Amino acid sequence: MRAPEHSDPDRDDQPDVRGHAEDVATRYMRGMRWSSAAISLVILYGLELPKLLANWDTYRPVEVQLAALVVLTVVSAACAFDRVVRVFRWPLIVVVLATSIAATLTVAPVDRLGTAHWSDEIVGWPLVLLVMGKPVAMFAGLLVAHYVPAFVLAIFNGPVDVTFAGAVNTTVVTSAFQIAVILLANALRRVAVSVARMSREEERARTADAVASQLHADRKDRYAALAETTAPVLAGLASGTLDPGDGTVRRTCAIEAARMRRLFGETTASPDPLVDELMACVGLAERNGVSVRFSERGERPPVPVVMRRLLTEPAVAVLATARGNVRLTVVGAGEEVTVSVVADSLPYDVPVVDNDEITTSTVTTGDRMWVQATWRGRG
Amino acid sequence: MTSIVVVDDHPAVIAGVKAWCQAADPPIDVLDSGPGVSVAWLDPGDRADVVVLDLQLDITGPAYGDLKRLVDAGRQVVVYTMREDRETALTCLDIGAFTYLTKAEGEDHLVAAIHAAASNTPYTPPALSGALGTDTRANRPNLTQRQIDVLLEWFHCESKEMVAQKLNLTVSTVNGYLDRVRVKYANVGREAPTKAALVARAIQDGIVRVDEL
Repeated sequence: MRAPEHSDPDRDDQPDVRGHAEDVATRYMRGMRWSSAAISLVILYGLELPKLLANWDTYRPVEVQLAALVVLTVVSAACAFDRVVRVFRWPLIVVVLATSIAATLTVAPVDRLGTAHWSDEIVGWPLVLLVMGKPVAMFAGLLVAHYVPAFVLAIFNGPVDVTFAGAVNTTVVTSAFQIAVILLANALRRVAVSVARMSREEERARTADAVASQLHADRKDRYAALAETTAPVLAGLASGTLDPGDGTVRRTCAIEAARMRRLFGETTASPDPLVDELMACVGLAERNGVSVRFSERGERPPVPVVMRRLLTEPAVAVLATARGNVRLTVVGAGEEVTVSVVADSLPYDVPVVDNDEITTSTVTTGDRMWVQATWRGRG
Repeated sequence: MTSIVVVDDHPAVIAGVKAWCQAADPPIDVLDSGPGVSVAWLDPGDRADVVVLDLQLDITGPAYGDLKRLVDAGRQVVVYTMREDRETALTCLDIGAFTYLTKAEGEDHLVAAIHAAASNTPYTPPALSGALGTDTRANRPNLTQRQIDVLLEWFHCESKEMVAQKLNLTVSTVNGYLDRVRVKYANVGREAPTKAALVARAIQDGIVRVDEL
């Protein structure tokens, strides 16, 4: 299980992969978020507003306290919605901390950390809403930023009515409860993310299973086709009706071996029109007595139909008339697809395709010829 | 004389490898052969300089565990397999195989690969070259575009003369590119004595400088 510290929902690099896990996590946490917002508002109006009203005359000036009440109300209500937090997390944290300091500064020095200093207890709750799902250390840091000014002022701008032990006691009890909420939310979030990941894994496994059985069926079909051509050769060799010393027989064997090797090597999971087209030509070449070794590497971007035809044209032309051994390769690298064929030199020219997207190159050494066509995607 | 042990479950493959080794120049001594990896651990196979290992010895899938145990014991392993796919080749290299050959390439490359393995000099046959050239894993070594070009062209045409002609290089420069890539790969991932030996030899031979790694 990966800790959520590593996945920041605000900076999704792969929205479709991580986005799903985030959506599930958000749904799981919605209840947590709503209840925390409710707690915040209930404390604000059930506990803190009466204190504000009871000490109305002691604030200098009282308007700042009223503004603080309004700001904390708005933030608590708005942060019930995950989308608001995602977009305005840091500005809102700054606003809440500024409110905390403003409210602390406008409490009479003697009342600091006491009953009249109502904001001291409540500010933690909007902060809970703002950092829910983030590392608990971040929340602890914000709490420190909130409490330190009040304590510093109480110590250096005192004396205050409450005892130091009493103030610490209240602070610790409130903070412990808030930290517990954050820890619970984070645990919930981790569970949600792993649930999402597991359901995705399961889905992938189901798909892979379906693909595998399709592949298996296809492969069985191909083995059946192989039996029609390979089995007679093997039977002929075994019974002695085919002579391994005969050139034609050896060529037939080479071709069958090449077909089998291609069959074993085939791992393409999805139907690929480019390779399918080439394979049709390979079949043709093999019937002409040419043995073809085919290999492919890399992930290919899909090639548009028109370009695909042009891209395979040189290879198809060589395959159709080649003699001897042929090597046919397809490579996908980034936005490029290359089809390459090496065969004995032909007595005539191979079609050369050259346009904005496809380039063809030909290299001849001795009696071998190498023709290569590369398509560069527009992306 | 270089000695090998051949692990393959097809008698025809063993017979073929023995014939190639006999005709090799300088000849290669086949100490033992058999269908199971035990021949590489028991006398006389345990004395062989190089292990030629077929990856698909039974239905349980590629014998990565056997490969790892051999590599960890400091054996030079040439993986010789029917599997064509990129992932298998890259996995074998990660584990610490000396090189990766497909059976279709055997006739042209097996003997040379064995000689290279015995002397700790890099050897990159075309199928492996194609796998390295299209490697997109996050932990792959940094390759230059030119190195990738050489890897892929070598995979396509299987002829260093043609690669050299196409890219306007000499054959020895082409070899230089391939060797440096192989050394870069030996220098990343899992520690294995054989990888260290390859890198050390490459530094001695001037294929790479220490500060390039």
